[in-house]
Amino acid sequence: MKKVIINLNNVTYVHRGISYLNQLNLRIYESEVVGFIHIDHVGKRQLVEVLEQNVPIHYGKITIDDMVVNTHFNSNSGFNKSVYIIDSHNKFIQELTVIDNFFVLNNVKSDFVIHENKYEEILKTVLSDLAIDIKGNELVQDLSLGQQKILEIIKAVYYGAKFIVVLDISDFLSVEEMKEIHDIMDTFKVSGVSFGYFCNHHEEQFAISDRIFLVENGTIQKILYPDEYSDDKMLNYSFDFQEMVKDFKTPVLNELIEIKNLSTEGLSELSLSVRKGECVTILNKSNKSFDALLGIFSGQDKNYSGSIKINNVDLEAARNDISFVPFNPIDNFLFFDFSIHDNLMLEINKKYPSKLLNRKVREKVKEKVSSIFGKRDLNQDLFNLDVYTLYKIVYSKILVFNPEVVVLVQPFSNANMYLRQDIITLIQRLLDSGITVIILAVSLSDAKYLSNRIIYVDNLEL
Amino acid sequence: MKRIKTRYLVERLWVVIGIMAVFCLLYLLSLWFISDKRLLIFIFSAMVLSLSLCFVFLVLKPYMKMNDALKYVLNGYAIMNLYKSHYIFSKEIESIFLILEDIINTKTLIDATKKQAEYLALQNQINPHFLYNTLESIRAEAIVEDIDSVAHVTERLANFYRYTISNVDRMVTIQDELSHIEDYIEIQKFRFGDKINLFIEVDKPEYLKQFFIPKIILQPIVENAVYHGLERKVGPGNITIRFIFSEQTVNIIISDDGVGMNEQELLKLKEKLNIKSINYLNDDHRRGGIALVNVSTRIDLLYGEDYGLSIYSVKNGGTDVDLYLPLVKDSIYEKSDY
Repeated sequence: MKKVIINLNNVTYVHRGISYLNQLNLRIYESEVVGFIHIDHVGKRQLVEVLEQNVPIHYGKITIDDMVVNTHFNSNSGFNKSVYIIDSHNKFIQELTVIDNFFVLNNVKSDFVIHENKYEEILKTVLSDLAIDIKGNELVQDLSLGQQKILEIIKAVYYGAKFIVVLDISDFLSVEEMKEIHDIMDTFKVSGVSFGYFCNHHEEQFAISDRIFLVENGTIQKILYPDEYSDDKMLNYSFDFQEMVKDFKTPVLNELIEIKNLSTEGLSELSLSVRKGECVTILNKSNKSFDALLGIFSGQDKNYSGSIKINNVDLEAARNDISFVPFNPIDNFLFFDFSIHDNLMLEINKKYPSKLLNRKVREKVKEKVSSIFGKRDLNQDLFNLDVYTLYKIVYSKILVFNPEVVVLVQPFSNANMYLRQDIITLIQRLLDSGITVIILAVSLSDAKYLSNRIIYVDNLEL
Repeated sequence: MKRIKTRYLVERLWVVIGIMAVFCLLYLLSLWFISDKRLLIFIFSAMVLSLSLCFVFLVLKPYMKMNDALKYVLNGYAIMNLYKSHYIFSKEIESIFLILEDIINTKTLIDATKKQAEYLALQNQINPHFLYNTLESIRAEAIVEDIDSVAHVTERLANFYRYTISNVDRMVTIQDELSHIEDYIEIQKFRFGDKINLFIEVDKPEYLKQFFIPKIILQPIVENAVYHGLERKVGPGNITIRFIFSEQTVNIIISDDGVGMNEQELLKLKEKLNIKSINYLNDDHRRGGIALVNVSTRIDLLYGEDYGLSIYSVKNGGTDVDLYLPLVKDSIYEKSDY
C-alpha cells in the first residue's frame, strides 16, 4: 500500500490580510509526481513556503511523513528536512568541488574530519548506480546548470528528502537538460521519493505528472488524472491562446535581419534571415547556444565571427534599431523608484538623449501608451503596481522606443495563465506596429502561438 | 456597557502587569547603583523576573490560546477546537464546556444525520415490505411477459430500496456501497439510456471487499452528480469513482463531467460544508447540497477533523468530490458508537 508523504488538511494561509491558501486539502503519496498548475499567481510561492518551512498558518494541519509538523496552534518556523526545493537559485558553491558541496556542506550529517577518499568512493557508487558521469573533484562551476540540478536532487535524496519540489525548471534548463531531470525523477520515484512539479504549462505537466492539481486563488479547482490529460479538458481552466492569435496574419515583407556564419563559444556557423514584421522563435536545445545568442544580442559578446546585419547595417552600428527585453524583465528591465512615465522615457533616451525632458515628446509618449494604460496616473512609481501592469510597462517601453527588431528572452517564463494571455496580447501589439520579434527560448511554451517560424538550434548548429 | 468595560479591563490586565514588572525592574536597577545591598536587590530582581515569566507561561499564554480556540469557533471553524483546549480556568468554565459539548456534540448530531441520510434516500415514508412485494410482483409479471428490461430495472429498484431502508447506521464494505451505486445508475439508465456512464478505477480491487465505510456515504454524492451535473448536460455524461488506498487511509474521488457550478454556487456550498451544526437539517430539502453536507458532517463526527470531504467545481468543467477516510477493517468502528 502507498504511504501518505504529505498531508495538508484544511490549510489556510493568510499574510497581511490576504488569503493565499484557502482551505487546501491535499495528499501526496510516496512514489508519485504531482503536478501543480497555478492559473493565477496567488499562493504559488506561499504553498512552496508552507511545504518547505513551518511558517505560521491561519488554520489547518500539515503532516509530513506521519509527523505533524505545523498546525494553527503551533508553528515553529523550522525547515522540514524531508522537503527539498529545486529552483533557479544555485544552492551549490561554485568555487568548491562536487565532493565539498555534496558531503561537507550539508546540514544533516557532519564529520569532524573530511575523508576525501571515502567521500569520493561513496559518490562514485551513488553516481554510477544512476549512470551519471560527474567526477567528485570537479569544480561545480565547470558543470552545466542541468548537471548541478541533477546533483542537487541526488544530494537531497541521499540526505533523506522524501518530497522534492521542482519549481519552474523549464525557465532555466534546456530541453535536453529537462529530459535528464525527468529521467532522474523517474528513477527516484521508483525508490519511493515523491515530487511536486510546479509549472504553468500543461503540455509539460502531462509528460511527467501522475496527477495534476489546478490551483486558482489559492484553492484547488480540479485534480486531473492521466485519463483526463487533454487540451480540451484544459480549456475549462485556461485560455485558448490559438484563438487569441487567429486574426494575426504573416506579413510578407523584405528581409530585415541577415545572420551569416555566426560562430562563437556554444554556436557554430549559424545562418538565417528574418523578414520585417515577422515573429521568429529560436528554440535552443542546449543552454550553451542559448547563452551564446543571449551574449551577442545583448551586446555583451562582441568576439563572434560571422555577421549580423539589420537593414544591411552591421549589428554594432545598428544598436539603436534593436531592443532587448531580458529574462525576468520586472527585475532586470524596470526602475521601481522612477515613475511609469520616466521608465518609458528612459528607453527613448538611448535613441535621442536630448529629448528626455522635451514636453512635447513626453506628451506624445503619453498619447501612444494611452490605449494600454487607460486613465492610470503615469506619474506614480512602480512599487505598488501589480505584475500585469509591470509587464505592460516593459512592452510599452519597446513600443515607445519603436525599434526595427526586439529580442525577447524567455518572455513566458514564470507567468501564470492570465499573465501569459496579457503577454501574448502585448507581443501582438509590437508585431502590429511593425516591430520584428525574435524570441529566445529554451522551451517552446506559448511562443508557438505567435511564431511564424520556429528555429531549433541543437548541438551548436541550426 | 459594564460588560464591555470588564472585557476591556481583562484584555488589558496583562499589559498593566507587564508595565508594573518593567517599572519594578527599572527601580531595582536604579537601586543597584545607589545601594550597597546588592545581593538583596539581585534576589528581588530574580523574583520579579521569575514571577513575570510564570505569569507569561501560566496565565497569559493559556489565556491567548484559549482565546484563539474561541476565535476559531466564532469564525465558523471546527467546534472540536473548543474541547481540545487544555486550559480550563475554573471548574465552572469546565462544567459549562462539558454541558455545551453534550448539547452540541456527537450523539445528537449523529442521530440527526443518520435520520437525514435515510430521509434523503427515501424522500417518503414507504412501507418496505409492501414495496418489496410490489416490486417482485412487477418483476414476475415482466418476466412472464418477456419484458427483460422492466424485469431488470425492477430487480435493481428492489435491491436499491432494500439496501437503503435497512440499518443506515451500519458500516458496509466499499464493494457493497459500490453495488448500491451500480443499482442506482442502472435505474437511472432506464430513464436516461446511455446518457449516463459509470466508471470505477481502483488499483487494488481486493481492498474493496476488505475495508468498511459508513453506509450510504457515496451514493448521495453520485445522485447529486446525476441530478445537478449530468441531467442538465447536453449529450452523454460520465461519472468516475477513483480509489487511492494508502496504509491507513482511502481517498475516494467522485468526478462528473457535467455542467459544474459557478464560483458563487461553489462558495455557498463550501460555506455550508464548513459549518458543523444541525441547522442545515432545517433547510429546504429541495435546495442543493444537503446530501453533501450530510455526508461531510457524518464523516467529521465519526472520524474527526483529520478526515472529510472537499469539493472542486468549475462552470462547464464538471465537479469533483474528494472524500478522505480512514481504512477500517471491521464493520464496527471503534472510535465511536456509530
